[in-house]
Amino acid sequence: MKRRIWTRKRKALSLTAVTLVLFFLFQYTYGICLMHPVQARWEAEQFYGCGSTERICHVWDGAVGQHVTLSSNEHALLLIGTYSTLSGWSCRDRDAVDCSEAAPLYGGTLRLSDGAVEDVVYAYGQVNDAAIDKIQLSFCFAANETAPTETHIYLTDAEDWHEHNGQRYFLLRSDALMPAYAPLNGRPYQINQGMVWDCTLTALNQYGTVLAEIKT
Amino acid sequence: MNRMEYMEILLAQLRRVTPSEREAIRQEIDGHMEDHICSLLELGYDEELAEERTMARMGDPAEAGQELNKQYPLHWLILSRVAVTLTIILCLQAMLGVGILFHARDSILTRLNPPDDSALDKTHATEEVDLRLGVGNDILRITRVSTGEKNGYHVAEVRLCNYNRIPFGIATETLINHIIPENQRGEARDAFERGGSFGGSFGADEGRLYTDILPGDTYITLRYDAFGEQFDLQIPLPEEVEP
Repeated sequence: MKRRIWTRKRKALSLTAVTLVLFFLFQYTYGICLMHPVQARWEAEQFYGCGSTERICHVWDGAVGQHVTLSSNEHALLLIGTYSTLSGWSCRDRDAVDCSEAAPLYGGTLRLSDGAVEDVVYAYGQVNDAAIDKIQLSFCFAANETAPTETHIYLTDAEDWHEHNGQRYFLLRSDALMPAYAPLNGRPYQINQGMVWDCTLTALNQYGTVLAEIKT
Repeated sequence: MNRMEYMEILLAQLRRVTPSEREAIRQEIDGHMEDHICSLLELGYDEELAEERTMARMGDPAEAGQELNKQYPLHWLILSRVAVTLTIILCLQAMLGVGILFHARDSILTRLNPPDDSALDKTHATEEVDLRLGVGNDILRITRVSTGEKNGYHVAEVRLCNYNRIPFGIATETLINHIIPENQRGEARDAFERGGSFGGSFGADEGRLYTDILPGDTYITLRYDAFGEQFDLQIPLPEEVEP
């Protein structure tokens, strides 16, 4: 039987087809090789079962090396941090808030980490009460169990918020970089994660009156 | 010029071919020449003349080689090489991330053999069931309903799991944790074990829900309200047999 000689074009197209099949198979079964951050967001949506969301805002946080994306739909607010690896885009830190009812304020906090050195805390939310003019984020932090407690307070004004489909959203970044890990007992290889607690979002009107408060 | 020299001149013009392509071309042209020579030999030509006529018919080897070279454009070769390189990288990544396959395994296993064990301290009655409910992207599956003793309480236990509707899809990890089990009086106790998972796998989630009941209770209700999805599912309890 005569051996069939493949043309260069046919061989190239066949190999490309095999590569694409493997590529989509691995994306689907492994969740790797994500070519765009939006695919990491789709994974987070599945993880929370919150349905498809639309992007509200997007910032690059160089300190933790992640793209921070706030997205929402009728029932959910989703904040994710995505970063690029050799295996494509990935999402390590994420948080979602159910906003199905008509509360004046919905919000949450997310601690974003670069996985090794430093962390930042993000606050995010949806403001439904037109009288709300400012959002205050406050939290306590200690580098380890024996370190003194630091209280951090941040404020965001309505003029910095984002509008999408007639709704107001905010995304607030704490400027303080916190050590993600602190040495324990003087031994650098035995580590203890720094703690954040009492995260509170407070909604204020233009006179500073508290209109709503959320402990996250 | 003999047949060998003709072939060398022709092959020397092929600058963009790989060694395997060069060998395939050599065999192809050699085969053609051989066929033609055999035909001429059958017609009574002697071998030397047959070879000479065959080469004359094939034309100038340099021109033939240049024309042949055009049939092997470089961009298809580059595409092949890129495809092979990417395939190798993909396979290496798949091997490095083999642990992620546990998600796929759990996604399949939970469909085929969902967990249905009980963790009651003492079981009064138990019944295997197979209730399935679509919740968002997921299927919630209830596999066993039991009554008995747990931490000193008389309780009903519901064994359940959830997985994505699409095989290998990511299961909603918060689904079971958002379900509130209520007894016949609408009371929900939160002190019992809730949720659980396949060791952090995204392929499926599983858990047990408990609510305290009274003797003679015939059903409990699972309530869910999260991210716009709601359900109230009444689950009959197995009849308790008097000891």
